[in-house]
Amino acid sequence: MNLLESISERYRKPCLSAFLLWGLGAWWMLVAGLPVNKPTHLRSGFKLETVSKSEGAFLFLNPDTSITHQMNLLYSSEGEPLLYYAAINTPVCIDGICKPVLVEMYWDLLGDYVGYGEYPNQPLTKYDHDPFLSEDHEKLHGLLLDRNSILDRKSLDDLYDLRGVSQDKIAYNGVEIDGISGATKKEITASIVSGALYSCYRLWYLAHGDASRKIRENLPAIYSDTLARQFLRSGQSTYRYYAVRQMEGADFADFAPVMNVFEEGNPLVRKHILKKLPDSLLQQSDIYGPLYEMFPDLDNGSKTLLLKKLPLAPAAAPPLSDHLIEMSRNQLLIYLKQLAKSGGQLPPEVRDNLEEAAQNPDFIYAYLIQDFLIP
Amino acid sequence: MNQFLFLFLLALFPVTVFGQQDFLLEAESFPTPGGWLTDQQFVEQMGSSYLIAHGSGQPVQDASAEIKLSEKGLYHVWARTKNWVPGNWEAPGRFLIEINGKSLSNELGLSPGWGWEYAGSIKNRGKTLRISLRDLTGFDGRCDAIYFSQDREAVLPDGGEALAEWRKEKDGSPEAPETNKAYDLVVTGGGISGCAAAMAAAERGLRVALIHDRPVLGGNASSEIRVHTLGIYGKFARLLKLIDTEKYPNGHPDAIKDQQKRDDNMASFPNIDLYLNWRAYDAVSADNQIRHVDARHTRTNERIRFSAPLYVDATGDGWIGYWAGAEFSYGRESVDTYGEEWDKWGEVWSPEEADNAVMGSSILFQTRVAEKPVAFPEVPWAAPVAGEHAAVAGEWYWEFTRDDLHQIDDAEEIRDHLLRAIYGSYANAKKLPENANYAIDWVGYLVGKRESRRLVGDHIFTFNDVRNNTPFPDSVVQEIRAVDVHYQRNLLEEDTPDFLSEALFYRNGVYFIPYRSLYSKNISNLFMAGRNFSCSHIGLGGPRVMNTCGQMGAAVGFAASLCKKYGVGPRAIYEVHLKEYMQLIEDQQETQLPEKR
Repeated sequence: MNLLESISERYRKPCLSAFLLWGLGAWWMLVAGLPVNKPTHLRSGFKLETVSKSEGAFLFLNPDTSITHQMNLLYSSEGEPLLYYAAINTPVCIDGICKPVLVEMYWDLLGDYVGYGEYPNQPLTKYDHDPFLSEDHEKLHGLLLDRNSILDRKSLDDLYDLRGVSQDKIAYNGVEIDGISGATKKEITASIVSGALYSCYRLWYLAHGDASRKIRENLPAIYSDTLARQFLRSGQSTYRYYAVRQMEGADFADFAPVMNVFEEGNPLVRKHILKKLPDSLLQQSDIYGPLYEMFPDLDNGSKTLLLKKLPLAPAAAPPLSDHLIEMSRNQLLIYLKQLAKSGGQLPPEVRDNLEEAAQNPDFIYAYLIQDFLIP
Repeated sequence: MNQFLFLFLLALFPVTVFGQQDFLLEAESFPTPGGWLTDQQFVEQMGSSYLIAHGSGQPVQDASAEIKLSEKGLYHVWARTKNWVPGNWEAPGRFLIEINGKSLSNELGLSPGWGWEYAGSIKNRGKTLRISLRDLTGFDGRCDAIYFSQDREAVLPDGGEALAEWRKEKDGSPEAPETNKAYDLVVTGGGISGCAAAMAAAERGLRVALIHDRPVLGGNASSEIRVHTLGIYGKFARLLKLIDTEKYPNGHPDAIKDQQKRDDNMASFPNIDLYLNWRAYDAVSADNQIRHVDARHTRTNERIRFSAPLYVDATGDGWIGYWAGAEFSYGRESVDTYGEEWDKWGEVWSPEEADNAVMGSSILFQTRVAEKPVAFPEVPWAAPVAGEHAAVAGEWYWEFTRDDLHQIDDAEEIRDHLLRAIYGSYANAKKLPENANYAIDWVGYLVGKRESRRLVGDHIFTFNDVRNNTPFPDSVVQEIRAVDVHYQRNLLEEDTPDFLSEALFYRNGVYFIPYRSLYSKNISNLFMAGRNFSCSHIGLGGPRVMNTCGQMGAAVGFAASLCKKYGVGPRAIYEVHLKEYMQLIEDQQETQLPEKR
């Protein structure tokens, strides 16, 4: 019995119309280079609702199949690049039997996978043809988001190495461990959708292979001042990091968005802001003020960098004496060195704070301050 | 030092008579250490080996010594110690000094930073005094020394040069070691690379001194650290299989079996004099040539001066080169220094500007499921490090580094941070009902380092040598392992505990390390093997594992044999005798192991 026969006479006509309508829509979207289906998963911070148009960007190669796929660049309603998208139709073969896997895959403008959608009439299935359950989709999305997945270091043979001869796999008393990552076989398989290893493997390589590389290479060509501002505002740490890395001298003059990134960004982004911020700007009180005010709430690396830059903003040093016990040993040494360099009398509030910390029985580095106060 | 001499020296201790009004008793010299362990890792920073009560929460057995003070009357007693986690909680490493079974009045281990704490006073009636260290917590209390003085106002230096001078004055030791030993080759560091160097040289007929600051050989592979050996054997399977490990999970107790194998095999080389528990503390050079290496016994503090025409620095931290004035590097080079970019990972792979965010150190631990519930104490002092993280097992990615910390200068802080991570995470896990029966079997206390100083050779091995699979005329080490460089996860995900790392892997088939990366550029008689070989931060990523380091050791051991044959230094082997050397390396694959091993 075919699909049509399985639908009762009463619903056959409307169903057929709906299907044809969907097919027409899908065809049009395909021709227009737009996604046909709602994504099953999309990394937070990304939306497709504002997509207004699509442009063919480049072809990329799936080395497993030697099939090339069309990569499209989706634009927002404001006409700015938003995401990359490709309709993937790739065979996945097991023991000589191949089946097509159809998905729509999305990448951000840095080439990082952000999500996928499946076709309702071609759902992802496992080895036994059962369709993916929602937890399977969850797992696949999580796997594809992992740029540093163990799959990157594995051949399919390694993963299915029943003879245990893989050079990276080691076993001891029945426990198999990955010689590179230290992960157990159990942990590796836990990250892969059960019964769909081949699909997971192929899709991970599609998400992180040629497509990703070409997107990265394409970014300078589409990067603009508008996109730079969007990156800074985006909330995506990778976008912010990229934007900060592209900034030069005068770009930091409009400091408010940079300060916002400094507050919200991760330690790596903060480090780059502090390293790239021109000295002339750091000497301005409206710039060093808010930066040093954040000192007690910052990660360790940013604290160290701020302390190292105190010679450029000596006026920021006295208030930091409120935070002596939050400094590591080496940070405290940098700070005390700066105080010594400034010469003359210490401001009373600084001396008070130093003396208090020097007498604090729970402060592990009190002795450093004692040494400083009594040279 | 042979075992007989060591026992003889210890035998002098049980009743030691001192005719002074004051007396310094080094804790590490206690003839009966009980459950206290010798910790020699931070001598260069805090001044001495010390005893540590590393009981993973179970107070350890008392350490004890007997002394006799000749002056009768009141003596005041101080201990050099520290509160290793000061804060708003009871100090974790508290202990008492007992004299003749009676505790002195003050608990110790309460003050931040290494310094002297007053323990109390005793009335000396001229009889033998039995001094004991009584651990109160099992959580890593530490005692460096005990000082007895009739002067309550005695001024005791806390550290640095002043303490070193004061110590010299108290023990009356001469400037230079009085014992001299001469060898063909002095290898410092008994990790896998040092062992391999010693074996290779010894079987070619050289008389070798192998100086190692622990009681067992193997370094990170030893039963004291328990990392399994990774990497290939290259041309040296025959030798390296004598000292490697099985591929058990890191931290596994079967490391003890492999320890026995390694120790037995090393002891079977008649040309190797093993100096276990000896820590080198100086290497003196003149005219860019090392003249001698001085070492001190980690318990008795006896000293020996070792001299030889050739030296191997297999200390891991590059100490011999450092003391001798060898060029060295530390930290991550900027991406442009050697062109080591990997666009995919950017800054976490190689930074735009050089920094000190090197790969970190690890401490492993081992738990088991007992038949009955096992209690674990509250550890509030560990919570600021562990946070909410809960775990009953660790692995290699329990790793700590920070760019304001130096893997050598700040190693004690790094070790203590890892101990807090372990105890805190384990305590969190133990609060869950499903973990009630978990018990701690073992926690390491020696810092398992990945990266520290790298001595500079005629060739600096970099990422490009892997990326290009560069073939060298002097390729003596080979590896297929991926370049494996770590970064701390909290760099990208701020809320992740700071003691967890992520590894990045770059695989590119077989690559080679040239012999020129295994001898110093400016110290003419110094080889290096192990993680302190001549490489960049990224270059270290692949070959830093122990079988590969073992290959380096074997390669320099064989090179040393040709140096002796021709009376030349390491560089001449490359410049003049390369053909013969490469043939010698090649021949190793064919040479059979003597039957008894």
